[in-house]
Amino acid sequence: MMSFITHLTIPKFGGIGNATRCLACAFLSTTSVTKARTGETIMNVFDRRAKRLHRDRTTAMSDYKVYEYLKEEFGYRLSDRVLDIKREFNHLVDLGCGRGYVSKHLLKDSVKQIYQCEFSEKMLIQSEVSSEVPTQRIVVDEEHLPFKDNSLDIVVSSLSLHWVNDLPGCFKQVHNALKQDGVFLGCLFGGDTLYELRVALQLAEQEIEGGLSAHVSPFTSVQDLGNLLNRAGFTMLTIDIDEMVVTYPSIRELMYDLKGMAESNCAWSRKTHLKRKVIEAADVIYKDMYSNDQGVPATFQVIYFIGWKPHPSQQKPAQRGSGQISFKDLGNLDEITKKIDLESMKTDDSDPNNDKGPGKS
Amino acid sequence: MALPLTRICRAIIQTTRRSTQLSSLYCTQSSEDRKKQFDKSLLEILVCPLCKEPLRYDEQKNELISDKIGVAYPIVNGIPNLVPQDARVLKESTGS
Repeated sequence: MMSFITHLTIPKFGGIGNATRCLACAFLSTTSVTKARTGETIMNVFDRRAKRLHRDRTTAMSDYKVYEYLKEEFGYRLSDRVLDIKREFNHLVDLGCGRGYVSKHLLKDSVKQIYQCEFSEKMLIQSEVSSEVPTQRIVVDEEHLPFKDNSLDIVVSSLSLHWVNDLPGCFKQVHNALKQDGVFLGCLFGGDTLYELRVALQLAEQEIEGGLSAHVSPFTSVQDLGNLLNRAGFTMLTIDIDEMVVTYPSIRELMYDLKGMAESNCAWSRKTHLKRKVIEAADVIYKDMYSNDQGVPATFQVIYFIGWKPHPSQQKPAQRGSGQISFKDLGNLDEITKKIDLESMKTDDSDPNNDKGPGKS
Repeated sequence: MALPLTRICRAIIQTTRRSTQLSSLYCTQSSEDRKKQFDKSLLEILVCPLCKEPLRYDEQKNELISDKIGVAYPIVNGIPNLVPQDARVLKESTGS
């Protein structure tokens, strides 16, 4: 996020009056909108076209399945969460489906129709589909969703939203596309992902080149994700963190695997090359700081989230003042519950007579 | 409201004209693509990603057309491509 923030803070309105400040702000915001839309400016964090190319390139590899271990695993875990919701969904959208990591595990008991959406056309053609559920494929940019308002029952997204520039806008569009009481379920990489690699590269580059650049992209933190979902209008949020540590022989295998997963760096401020000296130094630092018996560990932190589009039938907090027991009595809660139980027993005994009365008349 | 939106959309698309031309070239080259038919039931949930208005299916050219902003989205192998950068801007004819 560093580069993003520094660019944002460049304009300063030190001694400008209120009216001019407003004008200047308005001007800035309009230009930033048009610039952001063309996808060519520093206001964006990620180069989406480069990411699309990364994904396209992996499709040319004959052994692309070797690198899918991470996405397969988290896709399976996410599909398990979909099946946990005891409901039948008519339309499911798998946003950023990759090679169908989530949707291929879904069953016809819970989903009637799947739409696999992916930015990379070539990857989409390789995607696997569920054996039971009819599936349609659509090439979609996550930043411009092509779905009608109030048309979808559930949107799932597994490990793809961390490359989206406009996350609030994306969430808002998902919210609009969902029906009332629809659910948005997904996972994306969290802030601690690959911290070992980040530290090793930073230290190595600092030492050899006397400065550092972003090699590991900025990830969303848990708090931010909660706030963003809330802001987009989702309710009853559930957010939890999962961590997976994968051990590699050295930093080279890790970076090679990341490339195979199409997770190479695509930040606009990225450096297009990495000197061999830097990689060698980073390798030594990585081993020195983190290595264990098997090799060097790499942490992948994944944040799962569930958000619901509001509906009147959903659970709500009780009204203020509707509580029956004072917080003062929390200490002797057992006695109070016993008393309430006794009273309810008594009323149960007397109730049948009362019930019969109106019944007869 | 309609006019600026149209202009913005056109601007986005025209910036990447070259890639569009390439993709359209690809479309014409492969005749086998037409084998897989586009499923029209998709139109029930799909809208234009830029203006969020309904799309029209052009069977002859095998494209999805957004009439409001005058943009056509290609369909390759029965898979609609609704990425704004890949879309083709229709010639100014009616409407505007």
